[in-house]
Amino acid sequence: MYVIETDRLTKQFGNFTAVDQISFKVSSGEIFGFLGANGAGKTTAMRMLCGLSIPTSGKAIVAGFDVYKESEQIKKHIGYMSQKFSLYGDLKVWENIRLFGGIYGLSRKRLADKTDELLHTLDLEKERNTLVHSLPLGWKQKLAFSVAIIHDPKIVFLDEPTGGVDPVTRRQFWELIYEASARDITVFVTTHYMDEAEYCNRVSIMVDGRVEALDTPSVLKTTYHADNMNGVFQSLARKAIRGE
Amino acid sequence: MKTLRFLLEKEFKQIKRDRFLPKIIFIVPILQLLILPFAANFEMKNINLSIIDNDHSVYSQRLVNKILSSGYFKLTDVSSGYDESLTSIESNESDIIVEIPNGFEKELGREGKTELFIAANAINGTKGGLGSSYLGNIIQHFNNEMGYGHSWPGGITLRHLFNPHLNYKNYMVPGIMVFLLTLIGGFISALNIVSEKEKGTIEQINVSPLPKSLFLLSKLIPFWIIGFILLTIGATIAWLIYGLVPVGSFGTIYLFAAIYLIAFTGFGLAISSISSNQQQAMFTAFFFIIIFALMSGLFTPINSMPEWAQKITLFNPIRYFIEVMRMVYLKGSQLSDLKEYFFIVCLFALFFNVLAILGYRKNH
Repeated sequence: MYVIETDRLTKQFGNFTAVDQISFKVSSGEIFGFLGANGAGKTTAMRMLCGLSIPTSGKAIVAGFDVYKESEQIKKHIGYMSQKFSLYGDLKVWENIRLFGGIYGLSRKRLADKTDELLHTLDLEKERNTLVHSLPLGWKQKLAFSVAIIHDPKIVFLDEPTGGVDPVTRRQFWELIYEASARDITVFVTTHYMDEAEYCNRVSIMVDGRVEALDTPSVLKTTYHADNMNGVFQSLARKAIRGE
Repeated sequence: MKTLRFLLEKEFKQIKRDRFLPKIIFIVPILQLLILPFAANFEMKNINLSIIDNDHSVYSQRLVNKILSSGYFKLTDVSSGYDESLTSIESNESDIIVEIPNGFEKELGREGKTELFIAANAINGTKGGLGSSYLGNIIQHFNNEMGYGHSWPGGITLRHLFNPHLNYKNYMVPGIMVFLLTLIGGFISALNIVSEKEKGTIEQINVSPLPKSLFLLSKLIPFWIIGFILLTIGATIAWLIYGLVPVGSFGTIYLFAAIYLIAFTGFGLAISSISSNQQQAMFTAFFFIIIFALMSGLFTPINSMPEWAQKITLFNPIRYFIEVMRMVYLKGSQLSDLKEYFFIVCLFALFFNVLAILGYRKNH
């Protein structure tokens, strides 16, 4: 069963084709890595799938809903963590959890339980009453991820969630991703770290708005005669014409 | 409804934690109401007078005393000739010249009439114009007292209705209260949503299933409540400092304020949802509010604007609320007298809020 299906999905900004006819399918529960150099069109593609950006042409079905007509339905069933940290810095940790839990319609009782559970898993119990903007980046990112999946969505979209985060916290972050995946949440993640690409079930690599390769990391490595994902990425990204 | 509560909790906490907003919300109205009614005042006092008394008689002395005792004029210059007097106008020391001709007393006594010469510096048109008409009145009085001529046969008596002492402040204060609500409703809300855009927090809202209208409502309600608090502070200052209480009812005022605040917060939110950064929002709001304010009748009467400008003021929400406030405060108008106004302010509220909802896009 597929939770994301796209067919020649395209986004143009004026004369510039940011995303050029991409077609792929993502299965339920999968950890799907969405790779590409800066400017390859990853974020634009992801924003279309989240209902934040209206495609120019092509088709896309996310969580069973059409991105053109049913974007508000899609939003009930997805979580999203943008590249730029977007929780409220002037609210406390628990207040952010409460706000987004409330927006997604969690009951009062469930909210209280969820808050405790979340703070416990993130080891943030002591920071419950800290204003979010004063948290270190790694903690912020972990909190943002947990808030993004507070309503147990079918899919969570993560846009470079570990950018600028130290290796230990990155490791912990991926543990959170695996936990979510174990709870049958499909993870759609973009990253620039090739070691992280190895953690994904399948990986797609975008070059200049097109999906140039899509398979499991091991198949990709064989196809491109590379020792690791970095090699695969290098041989594909070299073809890019667009600069940064 | 439950979701709205969570959103309101968020808004109030954010407003409270803002280092700048709570202060500005309370300091601005107090300062405006304390300073503006005194400063933005068209009553002319301290009109500088240059007198050329060529007669040096008892009568001319009496006239001069009469003019000076009126309280509007200040004697800055006593000259012996017109040219000298003119120099004092040119150097901006005096605004008006009064020349009393030689033989003033004699001619008055013999013929019962004579001529005075008044020259006003019209660079400051208001001062010159008002000054000469004050002078005209005083001279008229002087004539009557002395028992000479009636240039107004039968005489005209003026009775100033509703503001009997022509107290300019009574006229300004209700208008300034409207301006306060406009500033808070218009400006601060204009900066609100756009600041969420700049911080990026709006992404997290846009990617959630939260309906646009609910999000906007959560922005509108706090400003609505703040507006009421401001109005109350304003009314208290008006009463304490200016002794001004509405002749009509507070109920009418608050009812109108409620709708007006919805209208103007809608205006701010509409700008906020269309703009992509705070500079744009600020400039757009500023542009409209300045035009609205200058064409609202707050400072200059709408009646004295040219026809075409008067037509433009029909599309100015501030104008209606200022008129309502003045009518309720000074004339004691009732809601039943103001039905039309009520309807129009409701239309503005609807218009701006629909604009805000349409302007706010959750996707692009």
